[in-house]
Amino acid sequence: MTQRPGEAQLPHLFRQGRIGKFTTRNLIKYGACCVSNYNGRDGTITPRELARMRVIANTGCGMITNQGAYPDPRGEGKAYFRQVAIFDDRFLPEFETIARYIHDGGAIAIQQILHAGRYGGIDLGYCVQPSVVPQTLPHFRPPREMTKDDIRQCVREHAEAAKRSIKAGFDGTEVTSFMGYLLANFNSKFTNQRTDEYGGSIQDRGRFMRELIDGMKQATPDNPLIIRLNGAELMDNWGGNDEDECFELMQQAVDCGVDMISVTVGWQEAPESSIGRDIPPGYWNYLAARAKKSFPNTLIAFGNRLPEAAMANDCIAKGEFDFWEVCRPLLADPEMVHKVAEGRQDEIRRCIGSLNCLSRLFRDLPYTCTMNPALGHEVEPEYAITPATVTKKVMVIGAGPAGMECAITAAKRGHTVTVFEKSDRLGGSLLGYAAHDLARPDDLMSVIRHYEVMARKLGVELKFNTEANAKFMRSMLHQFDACVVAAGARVDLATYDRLEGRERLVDAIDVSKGKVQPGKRVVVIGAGKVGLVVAESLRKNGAEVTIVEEDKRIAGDVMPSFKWRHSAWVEELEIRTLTLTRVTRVTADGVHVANSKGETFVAADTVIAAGPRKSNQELFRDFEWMIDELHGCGDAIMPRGLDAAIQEGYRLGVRI
Amino acid sequence: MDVAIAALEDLAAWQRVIDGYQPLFEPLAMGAAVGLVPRFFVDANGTRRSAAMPSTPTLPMLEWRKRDGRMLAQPGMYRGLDGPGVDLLFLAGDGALQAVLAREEHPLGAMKRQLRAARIQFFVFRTKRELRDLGYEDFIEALGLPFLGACR
Repeated sequence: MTQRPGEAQLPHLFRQGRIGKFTTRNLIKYGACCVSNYNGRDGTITPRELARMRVIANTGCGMITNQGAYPDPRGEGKAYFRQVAIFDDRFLPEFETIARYIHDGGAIAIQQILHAGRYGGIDLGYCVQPSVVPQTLPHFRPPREMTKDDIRQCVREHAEAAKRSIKAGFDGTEVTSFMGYLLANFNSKFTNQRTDEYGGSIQDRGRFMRELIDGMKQATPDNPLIIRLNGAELMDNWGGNDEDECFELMQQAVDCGVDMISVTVGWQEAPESSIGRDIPPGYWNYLAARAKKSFPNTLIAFGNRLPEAAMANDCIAKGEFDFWEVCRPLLADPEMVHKVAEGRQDEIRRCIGSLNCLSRLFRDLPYTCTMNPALGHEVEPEYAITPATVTKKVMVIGAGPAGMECAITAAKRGHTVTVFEKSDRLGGSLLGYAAHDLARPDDLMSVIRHYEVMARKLGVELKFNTEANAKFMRSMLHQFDACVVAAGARVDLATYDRLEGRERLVDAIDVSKGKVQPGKRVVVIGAGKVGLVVAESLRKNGAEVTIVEEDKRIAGDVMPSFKWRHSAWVEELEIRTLTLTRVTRVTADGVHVANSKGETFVAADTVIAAGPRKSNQELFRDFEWMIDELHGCGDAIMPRGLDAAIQEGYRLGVRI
Repeated sequence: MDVAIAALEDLAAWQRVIDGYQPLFEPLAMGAAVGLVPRFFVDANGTRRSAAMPSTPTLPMLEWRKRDGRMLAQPGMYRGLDGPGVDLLFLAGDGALQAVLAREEHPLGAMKRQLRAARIQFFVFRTKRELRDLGYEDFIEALGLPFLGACR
């Protein structure tokens, strides 16, 4: 096969690999990626899942791991609401289909066996563990201790599940301890406090793992076995294993003859981050490098917070690991590997680490992706980008994420699209967030860069410094067939109309966009995401900041996986936060506030209004009788955020 | 250890902390209770043992219990994880409780910081639904604990 231009640029990543008797076309392993929650409550695989896996099978990876299936009929290993099961032959037909898809796509197929242990038993009201150690996250179930008979049965069920996977056509299997599942529970001294031969010393804590490996290898002697093990649990402060112990356990796995170790980081309940976008890419690479150095004759796969192919190529070149294990970036853009191989990296939709996927899983919902609105809807033709039956001239008002997503989607379908933007650049409110984001602004900026590239490549015309209003529309009469209002939202300053000193308020959006320079002593009214992002950024840059919030909680409109981050940042930055407090008066010297303790004064040279936002909906009325089709999307419909903006922009783009 | 226990036994100081947050505890059902104990102790044989063991010799425990319409600090006894008699349990490492008490404004913020730094450990003895029914959602979120659990 002819080498494509990107493959020549990243020769290490795109060279052939080998695991057991199988050859892989490159060194990219699609990670099992938690679970999708697209399946039946009884563990059966649905058409929705099959459609997604057909897309995944064609990602261009050399090795593809199918999501973790629980191996026991009781459901003790089941962690997720709609997780697939593999404890019986009745599940085989759909697994056979998935294995066939993967082979047809040119990859070798691995089936992951996932017994969630401490995080399992979602339908049962209890979970099983090596010892009774209570939960630290309320999401999970009360624990029961496994007997020795339970352990032996569990090993048998894993072996049978492995055998069944191979029978379905998979080339190998994987067992996972990631992120605190049963295997990790036995390995860790935090959750394993047994006094029999399965607990105590690290050798005895590792006994369950060794028996599991032996059982699975005996069941499938001709097929590779991969094990996912923590390089760091991030639970050591809680009494868990330190990194040295994690590597001792890896040594035990190597001694048992596993074919590959996939090095992972963290438990779900670890008090610190491991995969969020506040962790810089490459941060955990040292763990993979240590594993490769310690176990040079065992394949090492790694991918935690390693989102870019070029970085992975460099790591492989340096001998830090053998396979790049990648998951979430391929959810965000299933074409990523092909784009890299073809030298079209600039077209990649990057995973921005919003953790929308995982936030939804923990609400027992199917996972979706902020950046890929089609994810999970592959089975629905309505979500596919298909050529438009009637090509139209489409005008989009607003170059934020909603407008741009709609514009590029419509352009892909053959429409002629022009975007009108009142400012001098693309990005809308996202620019302001990106400028002040404490986690990793470059992730958010990558969204804007993606739209810039795609607009150029698809011929979307961008007209900046153009304010859309009735007069403007009259000048455009009959030039367009459809208009999409994606004009975003603004802080609703009318909320403060009765506040004395209202004229002294500064709009948080203006601050975020750099239109207003606040002073050094700032009060922010409103602790939603706009207020928090501005407050955190100003504080980090040296201002003294007080947040005033009428509700009893902050971050009310922030998605679940980022709530605790804002909470932590507010604390770490020592931002004074007055909840259940309202502003009664704004003066030249600050604000008067009232709460249950009475009235007090907070000195400030700038008072920023970041209260409720209001959609910019006026254009709907203005344009109603001026254009054939009038649509809206994103915050212009209702103020929400990036996820809703992209999803709605896409859904409108595929329909218009 | 003695210092930690002394910090636990300063009921008046803890009541001041609690009183600063009574609105957070308003949704709690009567009898809802939170426990605080030192995380490590040394047993009679001189062995340092984790408080995360199923059973331990009796230790003093500080309880925050909803009674007579408000959250009250009161003394309790801790015998281990098998039956602590509280809904949530905080196991405080060396100096963690003192750090909370030392903070005059927003002491729960100090507690949140100790949790984030894993100097205070946290266990739940109720299911998510039970905790919601008991009214704990605001309190848990105020401490920056992910109510739902999440890969991070």
